[in-house]
Amino acid sequence: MRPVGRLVPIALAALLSACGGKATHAHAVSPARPVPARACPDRAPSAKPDGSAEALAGARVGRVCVVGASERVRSTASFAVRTKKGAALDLGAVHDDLRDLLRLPDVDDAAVYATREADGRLTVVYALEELPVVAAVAFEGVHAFTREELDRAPLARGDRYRPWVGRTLVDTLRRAYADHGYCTAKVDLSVQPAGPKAVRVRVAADEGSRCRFGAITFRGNAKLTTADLARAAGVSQGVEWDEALLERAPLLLQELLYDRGMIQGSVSVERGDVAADATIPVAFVVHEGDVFTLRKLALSGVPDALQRKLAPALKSKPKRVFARDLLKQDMEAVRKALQDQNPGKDVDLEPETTVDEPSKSIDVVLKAQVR
Amino acid sequence: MPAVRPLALAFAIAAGSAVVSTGVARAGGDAIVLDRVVARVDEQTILQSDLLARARPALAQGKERRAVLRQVLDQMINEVLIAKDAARLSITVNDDEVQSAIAKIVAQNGINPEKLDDVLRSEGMTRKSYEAEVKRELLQGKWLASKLGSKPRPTDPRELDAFVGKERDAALAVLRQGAFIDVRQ
Repeated sequence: MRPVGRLVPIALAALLSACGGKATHAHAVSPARPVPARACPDRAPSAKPDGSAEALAGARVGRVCVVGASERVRSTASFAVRTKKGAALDLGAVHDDLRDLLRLPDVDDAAVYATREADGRLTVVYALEELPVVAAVAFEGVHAFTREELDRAPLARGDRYRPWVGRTLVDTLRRAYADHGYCTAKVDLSVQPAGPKAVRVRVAADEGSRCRFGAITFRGNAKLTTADLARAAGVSQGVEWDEALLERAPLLLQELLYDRGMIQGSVSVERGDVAADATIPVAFVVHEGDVFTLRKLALSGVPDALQRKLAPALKSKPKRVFARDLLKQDMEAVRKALQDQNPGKDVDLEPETTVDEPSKSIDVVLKAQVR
Repeated sequence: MPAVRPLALAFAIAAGSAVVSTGVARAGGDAIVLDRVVARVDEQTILQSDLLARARPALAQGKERRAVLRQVLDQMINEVLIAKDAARLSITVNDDEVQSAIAKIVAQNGINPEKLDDVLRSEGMTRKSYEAEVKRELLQGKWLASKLGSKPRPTDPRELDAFVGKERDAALAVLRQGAFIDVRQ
């Protein structure tokens, strides 16, 4: 787009001239007979169904008009248009003009026309259509969310109505319902005219009832019992559906795997379809992998005397199955002992682990730093 | 004032269906449309000039204009949807990949690289438009690969083609379902 600033002086000069501004030439000029300026059309012209734009390329432009939309938008658009009176028609420039016009925040649609006048010159018309303003947004049947939550919607009174934003609002609300357990909720959006260039947006929801967790099953587990997994997952059949619970469950199961030495294990979730009784079955697929043992546990940055004192109390024991929960407890004990010895100082404690794949073992060094 | 589209039509949001509206373009007079919006895909627009440029090689072969434009527009809408989804998935194609792909195509087809511009011109394309097309194809290839992921694939070439086509259509159907598509006749 051509910078507006460069165009302003020209426009100002033209305005001064039109208003009878002071002549800059010293010599007297006899007043020319006024030629009535042909007015631009007030709307987009009707077009030939089979007209070829290429046939007009290079023809002289006699007039450039911007029609449609509000005066403010037309004024902005006029600055954006680079096709000028007197120039040869450049279809590439017209294409760029149109792209620029469509980037203007209030423009919904635009088209460019050309009509050949009696003198052979072209009248080029840029026709704009403005986005309507949202006169009101009404939420009907929405009970699961507060007014404050709905006010954060990406569409509000006074905004320009963009269809894709309306769609985003519907999708956002559908997702929010699903997250809150309303798995059968339906959301519809309708837009009605509300006066000239304004629309009323209505969001209607049929929330349905909250869904519940259906059967919870586990697959792929050989070393861990289903009872252990069910206890660790933190969800059970009959509980109200909650996306947060479903997201947390595989993390909790993963922790269980780590606590039982299965450091390469993983858990994925398969969510079933909503059943007629508004329950959703969930299956956790467990990949346990091998069980790793703790080969060595060492402390670094901890005074020898303190190490000797701590050693019997540490719960992580070499040659036993690696357990992350025990290691976390040991780290807490070491940190507390160092803190007691160094009051007022900061204690950093980081575990450095080395996995030995062939022997399925792990070496752990707890590195302490007192600052 | 330009013709105002019927609001109910212009703003209808029907899941999974493209909206067809007339936009500001008015037919039946003496003016010639230099350019206009032919489709909107969410916040992006497809212009008539872009559509005609893309359809030029097929039109030059004398194919039926209306069918060609409809087919090319459909393809362009898919490309916009794929490009948006690819951006969301952080899938990109850089210039080196484009040039490398063009070099391979040139070699495979026994074209003298210095004559490539002439060959493209004879097919109604420019070097720039060809590079853009290759880039689009590479991006679509990467996007499709990400959609296929580690799904088991048939080994028979014909079955593989059918499988890939089916997966592509299914992925595109999902994208179309989630987009606002406004085709302006």
